[in-house]
Amino acid sequence: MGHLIKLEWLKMKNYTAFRVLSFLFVLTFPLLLIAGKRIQAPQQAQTFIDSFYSFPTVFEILGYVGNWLAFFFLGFMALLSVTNDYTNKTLRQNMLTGLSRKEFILSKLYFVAAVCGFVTLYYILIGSVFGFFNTPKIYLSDFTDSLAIFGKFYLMCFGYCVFGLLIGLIIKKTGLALFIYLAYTMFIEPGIRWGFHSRVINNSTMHYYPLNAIEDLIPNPLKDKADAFQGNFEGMTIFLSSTEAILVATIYIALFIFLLFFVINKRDL
Amino acid sequence: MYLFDSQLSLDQIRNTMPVLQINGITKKYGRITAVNDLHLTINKGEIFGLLGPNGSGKTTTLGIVLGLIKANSGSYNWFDGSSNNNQNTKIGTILETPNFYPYMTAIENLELIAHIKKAGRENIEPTLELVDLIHRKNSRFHTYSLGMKQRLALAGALIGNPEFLILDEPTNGLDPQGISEVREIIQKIAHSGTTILMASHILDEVEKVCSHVAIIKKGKLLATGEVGSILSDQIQVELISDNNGKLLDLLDNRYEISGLNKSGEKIVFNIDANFSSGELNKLAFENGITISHLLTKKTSLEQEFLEITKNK
Ligand SMILES: Nc1ncnc2c1ncn2[C@@H]1O[C@H](COP(=O)(O)OP(=O)(O)OP(=O)(O)O)[C@@H](O)[C@H]1O
Ligand SMILES: [Mg+2]
Repeated sequence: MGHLIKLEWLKMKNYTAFRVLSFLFVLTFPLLLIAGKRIQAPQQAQTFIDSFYSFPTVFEILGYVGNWLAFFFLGFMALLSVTNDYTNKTLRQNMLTGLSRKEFILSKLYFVAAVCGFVTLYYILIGSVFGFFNTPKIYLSDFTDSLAIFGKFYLMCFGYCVFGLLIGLIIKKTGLALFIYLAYTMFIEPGIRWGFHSRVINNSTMHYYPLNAIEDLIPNPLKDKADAFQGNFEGMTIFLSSTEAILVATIYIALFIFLLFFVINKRDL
Repeated sequence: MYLFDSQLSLDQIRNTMPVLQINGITKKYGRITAVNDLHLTINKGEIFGLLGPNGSGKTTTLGIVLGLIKANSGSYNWFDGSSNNNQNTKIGTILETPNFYPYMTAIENLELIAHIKKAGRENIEPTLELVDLIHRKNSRFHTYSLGMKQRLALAGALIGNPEFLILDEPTNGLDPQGISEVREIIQKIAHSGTTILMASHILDEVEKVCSHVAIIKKGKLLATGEVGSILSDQIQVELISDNNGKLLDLLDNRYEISGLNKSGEKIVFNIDANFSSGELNKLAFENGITISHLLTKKTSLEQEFLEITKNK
């Protein structure tokens, strides 16, 4: 495993897109939170906003920021790591050199798993720093209660990455793959869910779609509050419950991983 | 077998140690049959040339035995009977264009190859030296010229001292000096006992470098064997005498004659390589025949190659 992670690291460490995406991610993650705190608001709203930055809410807010960033930066990174090997024909060269198809996919999976680990640690670190300075009284339980959200954050990052790997592997061409990655998540899947599924079967099964499940691992905390305020949406919430999201996302991630191996084994290279 | 007869035992070792066996491989792309029921055996220590015109299925064949392309039928066996992909860690390969990470330097690219092959890094610099790229070792691959890329591909193939090399048009894109350098390198490597399978559409190259050859056309095997026997170095004779017929009869008893052609008074034919024009003169003199024109030249292998591939 270390051998395969190192292999991917050798490929990525000098890759400009990887460097830029990492840099932007590391920078924007805390900056977005700082920017939010700088918003000048009326006294009433200010206390509301301030509450975002104290334990344990800070992990929900930061997690949701991370949700967007992971979708863009981590998903792109995973996708590019595959199309990079296609456009330079280095996938073929890797096989010639002696890497097996299985090892190729494993090296990508291990690497994104490791990256997601670092990203999750970074998330915990930033959240802790913000929480530390904005929480009047800190209890150990602030962390222990947040363990579940740490796990969900990791699963969410990993989910976007695996989806990025799969789209990259299927489409091969960088530009088109990026387009499909974005279009599927932002238009196609929501379109199917709201435009089609909900008209045919209007129940919570309309939320059982892969990217929606991954997204709902760390849902928008504000919408959740608004949701509670407004009451249920036609008898159901617009989010999957935490357990549902974990279950559905895990199943799809497993399916995507299966497809990664399936597709590469089918191909002439 | 006699202990002191090292030549014999070496030959026996060569003959009895197949490194790669291809058993009736067929690959179709739609209606095109790229490789058609191909059988080949490559033995240890051979420099085996796969010779054929453009599009004859050379690259496809190499792609199949390297596990990149899936054949429709047939099989292949590597040394020990396995045909899994990790076999490739023991093989050095150049297949078509050199493929490297454009944003990485020569050193970094070769380190990646060494990493995959789990080979040491210590022969990276000497290998760059061998292919004459050491002065550019820290330049990124995308800044290389075509010839430099091809040299780096050869260096990549040599990482980890593989026992078997597969080279697809290794001199593609090189200048004349580069071509002769690369050929020298290949021969040097072959001398150290490495088995080499080399695809080429350049006959001259196969003749200069290879010990064995297989000629393919449209994916079909036309001929295979030692280079000397397949691309025999026959001699072409042009002759005008006052009794061509009798002279030919006399020659025919001693030599193998082929490809006889008449143009006016002149006859042209091919004759095996141990023919000497001195003997022809003697024969003519003894039989009272006057020769007014005699010209001998080695048949161009190019011509012969064209003949073999044309007629079938
Ligand atoms: N991916 C592919 N899809 C369709 N046809 C292909 C593909 N690859 C090769 N072919 C066809 O298979 C045949 C053999 O091609 P191949 O590349 O093996 O020839 P080659 O002997 O290596 O030729 P060259 O000397 O030009 O390199 C050609 O007719 C080619 O068009
Ligand atoms: Mg070719």
